Amino acid sequence: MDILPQLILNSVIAGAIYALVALGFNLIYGATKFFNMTHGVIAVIGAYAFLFFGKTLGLNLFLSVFIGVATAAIAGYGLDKLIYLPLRKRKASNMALLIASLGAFTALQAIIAILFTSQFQTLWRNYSTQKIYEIYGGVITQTQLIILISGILITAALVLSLKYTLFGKMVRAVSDDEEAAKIIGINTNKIISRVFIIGSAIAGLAGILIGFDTGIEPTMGMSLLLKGVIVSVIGGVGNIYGGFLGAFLLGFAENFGIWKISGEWKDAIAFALLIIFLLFRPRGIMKK
Amino acid sequence: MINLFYKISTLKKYMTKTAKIIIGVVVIVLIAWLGYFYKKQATQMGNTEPIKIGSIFALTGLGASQGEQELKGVQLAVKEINEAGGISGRQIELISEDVSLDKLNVAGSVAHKLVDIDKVMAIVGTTWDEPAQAILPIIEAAKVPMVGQNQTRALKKDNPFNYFFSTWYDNEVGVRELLSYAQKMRLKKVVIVRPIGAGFYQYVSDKISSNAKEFGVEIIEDINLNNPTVNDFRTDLAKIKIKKPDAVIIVLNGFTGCPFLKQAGEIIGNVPVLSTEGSGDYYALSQCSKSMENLYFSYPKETSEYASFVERYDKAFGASPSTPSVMTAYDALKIIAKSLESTNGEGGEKLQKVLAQTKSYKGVSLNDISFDELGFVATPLDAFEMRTVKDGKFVKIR
Amino acid sequence: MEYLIHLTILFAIYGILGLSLNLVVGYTGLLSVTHAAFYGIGAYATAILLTSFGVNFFVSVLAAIIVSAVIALLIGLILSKFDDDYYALASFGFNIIIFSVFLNWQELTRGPLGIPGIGKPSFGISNFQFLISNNLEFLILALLFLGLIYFTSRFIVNSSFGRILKAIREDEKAIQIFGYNTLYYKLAIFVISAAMASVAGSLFASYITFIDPSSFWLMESIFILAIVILGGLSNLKGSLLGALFLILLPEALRFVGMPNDIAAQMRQVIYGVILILLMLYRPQGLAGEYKI
Repeated sequence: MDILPQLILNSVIAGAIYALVALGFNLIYGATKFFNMTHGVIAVIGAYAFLFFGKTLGLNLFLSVFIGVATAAIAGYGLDKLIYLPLRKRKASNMALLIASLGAFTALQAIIAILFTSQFQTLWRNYSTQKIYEIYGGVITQTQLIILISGILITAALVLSLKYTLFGKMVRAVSDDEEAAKIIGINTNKIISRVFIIGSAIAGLAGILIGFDTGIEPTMGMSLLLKGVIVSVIGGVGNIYGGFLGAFLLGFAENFGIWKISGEWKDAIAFALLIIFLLFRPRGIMKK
Repeated sequence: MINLFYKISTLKKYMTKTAKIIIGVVVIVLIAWLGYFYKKQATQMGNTEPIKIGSIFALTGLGASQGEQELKGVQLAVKEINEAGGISGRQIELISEDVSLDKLNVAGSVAHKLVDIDKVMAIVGTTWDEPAQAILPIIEAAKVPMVGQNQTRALKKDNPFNYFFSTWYDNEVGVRELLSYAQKMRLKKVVIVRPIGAGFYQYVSDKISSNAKEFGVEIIEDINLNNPTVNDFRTDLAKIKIKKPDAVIIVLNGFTGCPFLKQAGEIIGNVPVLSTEGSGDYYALSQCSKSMENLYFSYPKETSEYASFVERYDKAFGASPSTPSVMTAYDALKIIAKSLESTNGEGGEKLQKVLAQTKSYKGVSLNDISFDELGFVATPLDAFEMRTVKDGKFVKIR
Repeated sequence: MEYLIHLTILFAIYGILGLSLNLVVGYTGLLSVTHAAFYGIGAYATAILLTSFGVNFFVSVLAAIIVSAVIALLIGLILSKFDDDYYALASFGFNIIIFSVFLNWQELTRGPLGIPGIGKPSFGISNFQFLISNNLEFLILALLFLGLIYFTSRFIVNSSFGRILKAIREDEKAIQIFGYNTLYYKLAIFVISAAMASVAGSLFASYITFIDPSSFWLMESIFILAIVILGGLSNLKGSLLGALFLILLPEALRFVGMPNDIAAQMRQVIYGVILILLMLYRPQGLAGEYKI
């Protein structure tokens, strides 16, 4: 079965991408408890920032990556300060936050289209000169390997810091119960603000890496967001480690689904599996 | 009675000042602009008023990468005509609207706005079949001709509409050119990959399947992709790899081209990828030319007008026209303008009759544009040629 | 004025969608993001019955309601196992599954090619035939349906059934203690809401005369949800206001003059910003009473 190694690799690659997107989403959702529709477009902002500095202006690779990630982080921070924080202060419902984030998503996506056109663009200057590794007859590129490693490292970093640092403990407190956290003296808005910065930075990195792997265009944020949401829920909302595993679970389910059943039903299968899975494990794959 | 009073006072309480202001502003804007246009219609007499032509393309959302370019084609045509004095001395005013597959429900509103409020003489559009199909009854009832720049033959078959024309090629001709190349290169066992999501892909993929046998091409596997935004083809490519085909056929466009070709290069190596004109996208060429060296596609032959068109386009927009529907959109507008010249700026039935009789128009997309009885362009059987990519440029395959 | 008639018909259709979703989301507190699926089932049922079988429009509306109701029953049953976030996620999972069916079950729906040539409503009793032949007549029909559904919703909401729904929204466990079978109520309102949405779909199919799967994807469900939230949760008049606003807003923006190159994108930006501002200044919606 020579297709198996490639299938496994594909699942792992897909899982790694989903994990990166979901990590940020999960973190933010845990702290704020609303479906942030801008998460996908923040990844896109990071990617386009890299495009501008790294490709158009031709700056150093690592510097451009840093600028890209920073831009995404600033965007997330800005959205929180300008929109979500005032809404939280007004005790707005999660629905109102959802719609506000929908508006922000629409506006931001359109602004990117104005600045960079709607054309599909790649982030490399020379598209094909990427290293390819062969593992048991399956193929994985250097970029994909980097995505995988970043996913693992960032997850580990997050899980550890959430568990052992003071900041991490405060984040968990806010995620568990915002009111209670306020009572014991935590400045919840400041914590949430930091969570937005970190979550958005991860999203920005995800956007840049995905851009290297395939390419970017302004409307790609929506499908990224969807995957992030699905994975977060599979893994248990707010649960970082669970989200990481859930991402790979989704990656495997999708790719093996395509292999066994025709590709056109891939989305339907993924969701059917998701629903069945949730029926038996409504709290996600990790027992809380 | 008391209930009614109570309701009014509570309603007043709900409507805070800000809410009132926001609602008020929106309503006022709408009324003001509607009023403005009503007034404009009333005072619009005399022949120095601009001739209004509408355009409907996907400018945001799904398909925007294509619609953006199509709009440019139309804009260039309008600019050239206006600089040369306009139509019968009147300048063209282009009213550009945005309809894409992810917001199809505004197609009707846009069409109504163009024909009822702006009172355009004609429309160029739409990006892909679906919005056009939704708009056909509206333009037919309003007697406003529309010329499509990339509608497939699937469009009119079910509903013969007289006010719709199209400058887009018969896709089947391009498909047959592609298949005859496959026959020539002895690519017998072929896998077809079908992108899904717009009727366009479905239609062209069906044409490929139905014509394949005639050229000795056997479709050994038929793979359906799953949604229009997918760009991870790896597992599908792995499935293709174990079948060991001579070639892969897939209807690509500027958006899916680069990811697919890059991943194909990684996973299936040198297996040739055959595709249709959408894959010969100049923008994609600037992004991933190396991956495109394994791509062989059918593309409309360059017409005699093409070289000068590219120069003018480059001067206006600083780039090459990326995709064939740019040229067909340009031709569509020019044909409308020419017809309006002969009707002296009159639209409606008169314009429709003149358009229907368009014969032997020298276009940029085709040397001879003639509309058949259904309003489609008669496409000569040798209108296409095969091309590939070498050293970052498109080259014709001899 | 054809343009205004057209917009009013759209208002009627989206008004029905908003009202029906509000019953589930606003009054019962179930965050359902799958409404476009039932909208689509209604549209496809009518489209298929009218084009392939020449069935009368009104009969097709009934047939569509039955199909929607059955599917809603199944989906509602499964969804009832979830609460909160998981409910929302599972519901949009269903939306995508049903969209996949529209897109891929090509023998039935013609897939991405869509179904064109859908006829207009007509009815006749022996010698008397009435065919809706222009948009004004269609508008009257649509408004009649809207009125019917509005008053039905009002009836439901003001009845004891409605009170229980609101109680479920506030605290489901509490009302269970009183012996109410909350599953029955949640299912019932979900099915009713789906049936109403399918009526909107039937109207849509016949009016536009062409449907294809892309009109029923997730974004449409989110749009309908936006109508409900913008109008005000658990406020029926609010849903009508919300539908009016979200249909008129993009139209109003079309008249704001901007350079052709970026006009479309700028309109999206303004649209998004207005949504944000509206939420900032009126998070409970235009007519909302329910502020958590």
